Amino acid sequence: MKRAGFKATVEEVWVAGAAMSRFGKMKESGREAAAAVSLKAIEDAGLSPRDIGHTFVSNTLGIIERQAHLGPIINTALGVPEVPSLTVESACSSSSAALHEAFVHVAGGFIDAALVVGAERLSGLDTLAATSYFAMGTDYAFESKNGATFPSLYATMAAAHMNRYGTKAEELGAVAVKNHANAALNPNAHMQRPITMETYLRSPVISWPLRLYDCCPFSDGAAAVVVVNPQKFKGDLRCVPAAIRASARAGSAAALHDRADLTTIPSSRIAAEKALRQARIERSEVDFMEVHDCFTIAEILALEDMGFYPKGEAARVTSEGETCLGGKLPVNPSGGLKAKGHPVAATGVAQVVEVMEQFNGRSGKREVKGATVALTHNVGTTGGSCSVHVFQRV
Amino acid sequence: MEERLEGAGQSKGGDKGRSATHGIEEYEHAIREEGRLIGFACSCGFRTVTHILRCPKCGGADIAETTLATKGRIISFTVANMSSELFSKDVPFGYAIVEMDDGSRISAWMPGVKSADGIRIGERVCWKPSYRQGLVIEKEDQQ
Repeated sequence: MKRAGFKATVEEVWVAGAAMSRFGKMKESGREAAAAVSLKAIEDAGLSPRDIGHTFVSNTLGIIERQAHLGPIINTALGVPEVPSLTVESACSSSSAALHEAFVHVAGGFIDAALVVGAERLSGLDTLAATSYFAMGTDYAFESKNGATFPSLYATMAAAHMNRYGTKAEELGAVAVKNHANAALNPNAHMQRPITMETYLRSPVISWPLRLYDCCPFSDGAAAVVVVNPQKFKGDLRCVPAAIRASARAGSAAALHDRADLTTIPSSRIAAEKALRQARIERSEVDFMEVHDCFTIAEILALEDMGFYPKGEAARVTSEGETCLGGKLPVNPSGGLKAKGHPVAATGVAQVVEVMEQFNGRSGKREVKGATVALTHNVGTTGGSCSVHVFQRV
Repeated sequence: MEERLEGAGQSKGGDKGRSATHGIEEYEHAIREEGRLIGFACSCGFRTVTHILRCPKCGGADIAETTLATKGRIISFTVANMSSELFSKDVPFGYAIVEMDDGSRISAWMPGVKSADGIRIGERVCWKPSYRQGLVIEKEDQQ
């Protein structure tokens, strides 16, 4: 017997609108920033809040602001309190996981339009407190209680990569220099100034071999996108949409010590394989990527694990300029987490905002000319979770 | 010192294995009060200190509680100049992922290590029962 109200699976799912706040320090609360970017994204799509069938919200460290259950607060602010909402938590990959949920709901025909919003306000915390909150995303009993923090876990991956492949500090530095240069072209980026290799090499060691400029900043910020079934909104949509060609997720053992190889993140490899298969595209067709570079080594691992470069090669090609704007495969034209900033739960959806900016000719001097296919890659913790999405300009 | 979990051997097909018999509180009591490093071993060869009910490598239920080896070698490491609140009075310190001689792996910290020059991948280390928090390791030649 057919269930009433269940619609047929839809063929096309588009991101139809996008907006983000300036990343960095913000005065307003997470809820205010989330509501503001949500309305902007809905208006960017040419829709009204009344068109939204479900809100998916991420606010990983919302407890810092003594606020949980943000969905109804956003929907109330948007004048649609009756719309259902769901909070999606997947550490640093929270809002890309929320995007995946939105995709599933729209593709499955359950709703015609979804709002996906991520927001975080961390600037009320000092570095010690922020590091402590972030550490809760590790396997707390078996990693954090033994001294782990995120910088130290990524540092052990960097040290293992250097030991096996001969990766050099200057090659990690090339990731930082590139992403700061890109961020300097992005008015919404936290870091607005380019850095030199000398600045990178002189920066203090945070967790050997990672220096200060290997690490992303603690940022405040919010970002939102609207996901639609285009059949329902023909003629209403205002900007150039991005068709979601693939939405894939995967996981890895939570604790690094339970993985066979520290120089790879299994969930990145699995999610990318799934996504490329779903999208039916070759890696050579990808025009640019926004990848998870919470630390410089993370960008190197992402490029290798997703199969864009053989293991041990990504650091070299990065230092040769292949992933710069104007290079063969631009990576993180927005500046990435490293320099655009990393307001945890806003990060995944902010990567998609960059895709929309690029497809709509709104990315100014950081434009990847003629880009029609983009990939986003967003990791939760050290790869316990990973989302990969593929978008095509419509 | 491996103790098969009841029903674990019947796991193939039916997945009849039973939940692990030691919890995190018992693990913490064992390392702090009894000087024992305990964990789990799967019949596929995977061994870990992490609390598990099924094997993260093969998915199997043939899991035994076990006492883990206390000596091993460093797989990778860092020297942390920054920490969480738990270790704020201990920085700098070494943090390492160690493969023990029985093939199990642990994450552990090294209070005595102040710079990366004092430690290397492949170095022999041993777990040292300690009044301090977490798993403390030191170089084997310091024993």
